[in-house]
Parts: sequence; structure tokens; C-alpha cells
Amino acid sequence: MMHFTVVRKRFAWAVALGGLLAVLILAAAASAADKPFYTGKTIRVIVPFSPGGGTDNYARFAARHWVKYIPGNPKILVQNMPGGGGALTFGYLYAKASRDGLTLGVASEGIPVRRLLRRPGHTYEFTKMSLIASAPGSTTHYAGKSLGLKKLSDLKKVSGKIVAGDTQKGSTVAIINGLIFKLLGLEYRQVYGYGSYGEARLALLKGEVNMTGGDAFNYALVVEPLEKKGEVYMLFQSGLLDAKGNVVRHPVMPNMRTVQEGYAELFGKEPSGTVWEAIKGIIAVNTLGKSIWAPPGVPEARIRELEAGFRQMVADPAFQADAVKVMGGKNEAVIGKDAQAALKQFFGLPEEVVKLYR
Amino acid sequence: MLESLLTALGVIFSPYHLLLLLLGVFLGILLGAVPGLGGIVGLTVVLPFVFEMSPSEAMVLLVGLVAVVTSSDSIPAVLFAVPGTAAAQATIMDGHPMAKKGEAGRAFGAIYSASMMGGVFGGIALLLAIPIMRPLVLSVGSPELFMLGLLGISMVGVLSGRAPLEGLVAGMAGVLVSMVGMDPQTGILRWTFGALYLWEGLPLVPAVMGVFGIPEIVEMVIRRKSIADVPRHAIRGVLTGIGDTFRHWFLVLRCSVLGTWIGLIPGLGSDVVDWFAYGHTVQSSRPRENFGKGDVRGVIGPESAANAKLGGSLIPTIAFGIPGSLQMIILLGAFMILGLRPGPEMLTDQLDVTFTIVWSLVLANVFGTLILLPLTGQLAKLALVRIQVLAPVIISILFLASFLTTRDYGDLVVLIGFGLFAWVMKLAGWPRPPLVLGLVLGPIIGKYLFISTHAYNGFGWLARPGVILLFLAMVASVAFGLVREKQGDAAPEIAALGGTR
Repeated sequence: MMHFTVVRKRFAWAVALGGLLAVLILAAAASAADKPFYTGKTIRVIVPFSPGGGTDNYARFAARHWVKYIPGNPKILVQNMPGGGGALTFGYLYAKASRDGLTLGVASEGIPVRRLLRRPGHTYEFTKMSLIASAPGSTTHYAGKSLGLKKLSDLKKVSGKIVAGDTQKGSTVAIINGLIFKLLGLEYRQVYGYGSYGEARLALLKGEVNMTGGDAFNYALVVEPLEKKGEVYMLFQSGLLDAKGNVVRHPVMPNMRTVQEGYAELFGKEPSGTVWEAIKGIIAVNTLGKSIWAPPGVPEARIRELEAGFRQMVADPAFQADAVKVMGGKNEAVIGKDAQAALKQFFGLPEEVVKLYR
Repeated sequence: MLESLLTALGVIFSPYHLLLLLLGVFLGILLGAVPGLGGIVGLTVVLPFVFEMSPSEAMVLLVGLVAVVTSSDSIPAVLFAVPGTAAAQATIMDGHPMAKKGEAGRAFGAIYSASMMGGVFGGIALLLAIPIMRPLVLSVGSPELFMLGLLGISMVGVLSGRAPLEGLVAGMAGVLVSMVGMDPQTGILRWTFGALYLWEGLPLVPAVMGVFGIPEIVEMVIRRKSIADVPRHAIRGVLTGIGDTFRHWFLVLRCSVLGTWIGLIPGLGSDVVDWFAYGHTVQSSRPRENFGKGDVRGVIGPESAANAKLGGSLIPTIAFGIPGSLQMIILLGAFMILGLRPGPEMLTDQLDVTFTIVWSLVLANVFGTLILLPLTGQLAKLALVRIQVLAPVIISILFLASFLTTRDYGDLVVLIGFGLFAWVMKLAGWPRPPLVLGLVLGPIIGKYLFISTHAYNGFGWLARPGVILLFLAMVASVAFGLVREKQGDAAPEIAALGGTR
């Protein structure tokens, strides 16, 4: 009897405690639902290069606006973790970074290429990480005065005289520069080693090289003024891939022909073959552009919150006005899933195409 | 043009702008004085705040900040042989021995006045260069940059003092080690041994701190004394130092020209300027046996060049949108954010903005010196503090500053590795400066030799007039040194940098 009472009493206590606990949990859940996860938190965005480059600039620019549109208005801290051409940052993001949505990384166009080529240290898997959003870019390709180009068809006359200035072997602009000459059947020489495409442009003005390229966003800022003065002759933009996989002009250069259009103009037919497939592969990573990634295993809901914030930011005219001022053109964005499809295709490129990148 | 010049001056002297300039100068002094921090850190920290400012306000703040970093970075260089930023490497050469002799105050007096004069001169050079910016920048191609690198290497002779052979070996070792990392021409990884950290090469700041800072501190701790062996009154020293700068006004002028010129060539980097200036100072000064033992001219030259450089490096940034250094890259980014378009318009439509930059530069240097000079008395007294008290602080600074470079443990390995190696060198009486010179110049030589031979498809570039001119300059500087040597002119005492052998 006694025994039974004790048990019953214990049971009553347990029920009471359990109820209290349930209420507490519910209350906590309710208040958590009131307060978004990111309230009062700090998101770390890791840039895989030293401060001052294109990727760093973009990350700092986007972060500054992005915080205003993420529920809870967190702080964003941009950090630099240079090393291994991005391998250090993405290795860290893939294997070590916290999986709570508070640590993100920004990739440049070159990092997927190095991953595809399995450069040492690039052992992470993009396909297992979450792509939050990306800003599509493109490349420009132009000639110096010394080459004497007046119209596109003059290109055929300068085969063998082309000396292209590039940053380093294996950079996306350098790869696509070489592939374009190959596609057009031109003989060329590539000079590597310039610290940036700004330095290469200066070398072009000095007459040290007669062909170079660069980032689409630089076009309006630095290339177009030179073009107007006749200092450079703008040949092509590489363009962007649209949702159907067609090459289209980048919104910051609506009046400049793409490589595909240029080829058609010169040869009267559409480009095809392995070299063209390789060029399209690079256009695909350029379309991905500067991409923002979360480590594997971050809760889906947080990814959605971050994505939604990014989408709202891009839709805001105030952001776009600032983008024109700072980045030299409107900043369209591809949100997560769409971009991930293009990347999957890139990593599935056949070996004979990949060979051309080496 | 004169009108915009005065308009810009009027803008700067409005109270709000003046306040921002002073804020920038104050921040710059703090960031420069703490090793590991510097202009780049300062710019990235301040950047978010300038978005809401008008272009002229932002410009005043940013330029004010970067202008004085190269003045205050000499404080740890002189006192502890730890450079505040990479631009203070050569200041250690004679600055630290001066502190050991109890002349820290004199060194600071000379440094700040030379910095100010160099900075003002750089501003004036920027002003004068505005009409001829384009040809000035375009005249120097990759072959000339390669020759400049070689000219720098020829200074190994000067920097080796009485041990030229050891100096040469140390210099070559520096060049060799600087080759670590990914080769941009072929994409080949050189000596990286699978370590991602080594892809970008060995970082300069921890290496320099190891080479100069570690051996000094180790030795001071072993001797258990204060930095200065002989206590002397610092205040009087400050005035002596200022007087020294004025006495050597021609050296200040020459080094300022040198600094401005190196600054305006994008591609030579910001780390070499003080070594070029130091090399020139030693080569052109007589008598020279006291260099390395605390010759005041050894701090005047590099410091005036370091501050003149900023004016020079603004030229390609403004006129071409091509930044010559990391600091300029960030500054250029800020300019763009403010809606400025680098290019010829900066000299026509936006001339008053350009003049605002010039005035900010000049005034920041003046203010920086006026703020720093009264502090020197107190700073110099640090040299009298017992080393047992100071050493833990200095060692912490060394490690923290190194770790800030890339926030990788590799930074600490580089610091300790170079520190141990340099300590052994010091014990053996080998000159350490050539090692650093090799580290600084190695990448430049490699890069531009490669570009030159590829771009010109062979060695035809050797016949370029600029190349021949620089080659002759190199031969002359080496020959001149040798001839003087034979005439019994004593070599500088570089190997003894700050130490007792």
C-alpha cells in the first residue's frame, strides 16, 4: 500500500514536472519563433584571397547590403583566408567550419576550375555544399593599338603576331583567352606573370603585349573609356549562359558581341567542337561568377532565409544603384539551385574537354 | 588649375574636414606603431564608415590615415628592431643601433622631420606630375623593372659591409627562398611540399621580424640590460635629430625623389623603397664606416623615401586606375565606391578632388609629425626600461604581429625559423640585411625576367635604352664602391647591426 502511494506520488510529480517542462519548451519554441535565428548573431564570410582583389571587393560590397535583408539583421564579418588558390578556405568550409549557417565562403570563378582539374589541396566537394547565391560575371577580350585592328575581320591578318598578357597559367581569363585564339584558328603567344589584369592592361598601353582581357565589371569603368579614345580595340565578351544553356550578352555590356557572335561573323557558321565546348565550360563558371557557399549540413531553413535575403537585396533599386556605382553595373543574381545545376554540368565535362584547361 | 587648388585647400580647412583629417592621422599613427597592423588593416576597418560620406570627406580621412602610417611604424623599428610595417625595414639598420647608443630621441627627431619633409615632397611631386602622369608611368616596361630589381641586388655589396662574400651568399639565399610558392608562368608549385600555406610564398612580415627582431631580443635578454646601454636625456636628442635632418636636406631631397619615382611605377611593390633609399644613402655618403652602428643618415634616407612614396603611388592609381600596392588597391576600391572614376577625368572634371588628395597628403604629414614629436621623449625612455620587463611584451608583439599576416600557424613557423637562422648568422658575424633584400627583390627579378623574355620573345629587350641606362647605373654604383674601397675608405659596419660580436 505504502509502496503504491509512493509510486503514485512519484508519478504525479513526474507528470507535473513533465507538464512544466513541456510548457517551458513550448514557450521557448514560441519565443524562438518570434525571434529569427540570426538576431544578434554574426555571420562570418570567408574570402579565399588577400584583401583588395575582385572577390574580396565583391564580398565586402554584397555583405554590406545583404545584412539588411536577412531576418534578424545579423552582423557580417568579412575575413580573408588566402592559401592554395582557394583550397585552404574551401577545405576549411567543407571539413571544419561550423554547420550552423554562421560561416560562409565566397568562391571566385577560378576555384571550380581548380577543383575540376584536381589541383593539389582541392579535395572538397562543391556538390555536397549549399550554394546560396551568386553574381554572374563574364570576361572581356581586347587588343592594343599596336595590333592595328579596325574591324573584326582584321583578326585573320594578325595571326602569329598576337602576344597576349595574362596573370597566371590556369586563371579563368588566361584559359579562355587561349581557347578563343584556338577556336578562331589564330597563332598566338601568351605571356604570364602580370600581377593583375590591371597590370596587363598597363602593359598593353605600353605596347609590351597587344592583347589582354579582364573582368566584365571592369569594362564600363576602365576599358570603355580607352576604347572611346581608340587606345584599345574591343573584340569580344565571353558572355553568359541563360537558363536554357544559350550564350547571351552580359547585362553590363549589352552592345558588345559575344565570342559566339564574333565567330559567326567571321566564319558564317556557329562554333562547334571540343574547343567550343571547353569555352562554354568556362562561360558556365563565369556565369556562376562570385558564388557564396555554406558548409555541408547547414539546416535547410537557414539556407532559405539567406537566399530570400539575397533575392530581396537584388530586387532593391537602392542596391542596384549602388552596384552601378561600385561594381560598374547592375548585379543580377542567380539563386542557389539554378546555379548548382550549371555547376553539375561543369563537373561532368568529358576528359577531352578538361584536357584543354591544363 | 590654381583656382581648384585653392578651392581644395578651402575645403580641407573647413572644420569638419580638418577633424576627419586629424582622426585619420590619429588612427594611422596608432596602426603604424603596432607591428602587424598598418595601412591595409586601417583602410579595411574605416571603409564601411566612408560609404555615407561625401567624396572629399572620405578622401581626407583615408589619405590622412595611410599617409602617417609610414611615420609611426618606425617606433618599434627603432626601439625593438621590429618593423611596424614593411616600409620600416631599413629604418632598423641604423635606428635600432641609435637606440642602443641611447640616441632613440635623436633618431625619432630625425625620422619624424624626414618623414614630414618626404611626405610634403611626395605631395608636391604628385602635383607637378599631374600634367605628365601618362608618359611617366608608361615609360617603364617589364625589362626596366627587371633591371631595377638587379640594381637593387647590386646593393648587396653596400649592405654586406666588411663581409662581401657572406653578404652575397645571404642575398642569394634570400632570392632562393623567395621562389617558394606557385610559379605564375607555369602554374608549377615550387617547394611547397604539399603545404597549402606555401602556395602564396613565404610571407615577408614574419620573415623580417624573425631576421631582425628575434636575434636582437634574444641577445638583449642574454645580456640582461635595457635596450640603451648608456642612459642619456632624450629630449635634447629630439632637437639634435631635427637639426640632423635639416643639415642633410640634400639627402632628404634625393631620397624623396627616389621614393616618389619608385612609388609611381606600378609593379615594383611597396617593400623595396626603403631598401633602395638606404642603399643610395650608404653609397652616396662619406664617411660611411658608421653605417649599421647608428648613423643618423641611415634613418633619414629611408624615412623620407617611405613617406614620399605615397604621393608617387597615387599617380598610377588616379591616372590609370592601376594600383601599385595592396594599400592602393583598397584605396582605389574606396574611390570607386565613392563614385570616382580613375582616369584622365581626375585631371579635368574632377581636378578639385585630386587636389583634395594632394592637400590631405601634405597636411597629414605635417600633423602626423606635430603629434608624434611631443611623444618622442616618453617613447625614447622605453629604451631605458629593464629588458626583463620589456622582453615578454616584445615577444608577444612579435608573435601576434606575425600571426596577423595570414592567421595561419605557418606564420609562426616562418617567424621562428627565420629568427633562429638569423640568430646563428648574427653569432657567426654574417650580415643579415642582404637576406631580407633577396627576399624582397627575388620575386620582382623572377617575374620581370620571365615577362621580358616572353613578351619580347628572346633577349632583344636588352637593347632598350632604359635597360642600358639602368645597367650602366648598376655598373657605376658597384665600380664606384670598389674604387673608394681601394682608396682606403672604410666599409660600413653592417654585420654588427646593433650587436656586439
